[in-house]
Amino acid sequence: MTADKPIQIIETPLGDAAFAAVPIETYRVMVRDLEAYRDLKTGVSELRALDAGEVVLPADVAHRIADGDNPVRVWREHRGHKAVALARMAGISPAYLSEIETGKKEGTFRTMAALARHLEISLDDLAPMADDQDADSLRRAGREAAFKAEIAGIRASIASGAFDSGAVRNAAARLERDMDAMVADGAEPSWASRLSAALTEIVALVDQAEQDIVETARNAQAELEEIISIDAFAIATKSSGRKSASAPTIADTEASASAPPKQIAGE
Amino acid sequence: MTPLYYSRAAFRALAALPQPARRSVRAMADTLQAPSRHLAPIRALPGGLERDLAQVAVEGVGRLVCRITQDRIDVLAIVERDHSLPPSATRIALGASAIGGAS
Repeated sequence: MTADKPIQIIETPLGDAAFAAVPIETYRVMVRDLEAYRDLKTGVSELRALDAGEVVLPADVAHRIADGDNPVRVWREHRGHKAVALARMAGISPAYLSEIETGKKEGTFRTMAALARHLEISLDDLAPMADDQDADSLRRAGREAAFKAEIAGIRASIASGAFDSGAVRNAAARLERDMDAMVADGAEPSWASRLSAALTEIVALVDQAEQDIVETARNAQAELEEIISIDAFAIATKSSGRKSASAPTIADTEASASAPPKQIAGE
Repeated sequence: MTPLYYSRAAFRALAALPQPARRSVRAMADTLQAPSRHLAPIRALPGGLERDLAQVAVEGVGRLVCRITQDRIDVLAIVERDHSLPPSATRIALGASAIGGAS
């Protein structure tokens, strides 16, 4: 920065720096460099997606679809297929394909999947250009479907013989997170608060079940300790411990010979 | 003609552009594919040279982020802004004495 192109700092009455005024050329260079930095990041990130196998659209295909041509027709012509041939490959009638290509019919999921497969593209490439509102509702519908699957998983886990408390707890946590994301996205379905309460209840039940298991284990342990603390068990343990630890003394031998035989549980 | 491709992100951005802007992008794509592509306003991205990354300005639209090699061109993104003041910047007319006269 030269003396004739200074940066001016504009301060508040309290002396805090509030604005920096720079010459317009400096500002333009800063904007250009910032844009270059952002473009570099975008470019590198997109290249990674391409390296990972994301499909690119040839210019003629992209231009025609962006101009509103039907994606099935555009891709079919790009691949050099006759309509009759593609219809046969996809197992549909040429008339039905024509109706799809002219927008008279939308085509079932199965049909569109078959067409995409034979055109060697993904199903996404055949989807009509969704506007933002459509994209939002699709995303929400996807989230609701994920909720239902997660709830079904929790129910199955609870009902199965191999009940896994950790899995239930994790699924409940995932559901809570998904619900937070949905609310942050501007949607709060009527069942959200009930689901939240139910999740709290489920986690409490899981905690209780685990507590019961711990309690049962403690009781069992106490009972075992009581069993092994009875005299007969203690003597048997002591005597076997001595045998293994060192050779019996004469006094031991005499004592065991004179003592009456005792019944030990389990023997 | 050098083959030109759009990434999904670039294609979505292209489809979302209004018709006149789309026509401008298309015209620029045609220029890039043609042997006269050296006439296009291409600027190599600093730090992106080893990946052949460049910006291509499109008048009235913004710029294309591209990978340009001898064999092919990939339009990776379409950024809708021009090399100019952002629309939100406030313009204030000041007298000459108000600038640089702090001392």
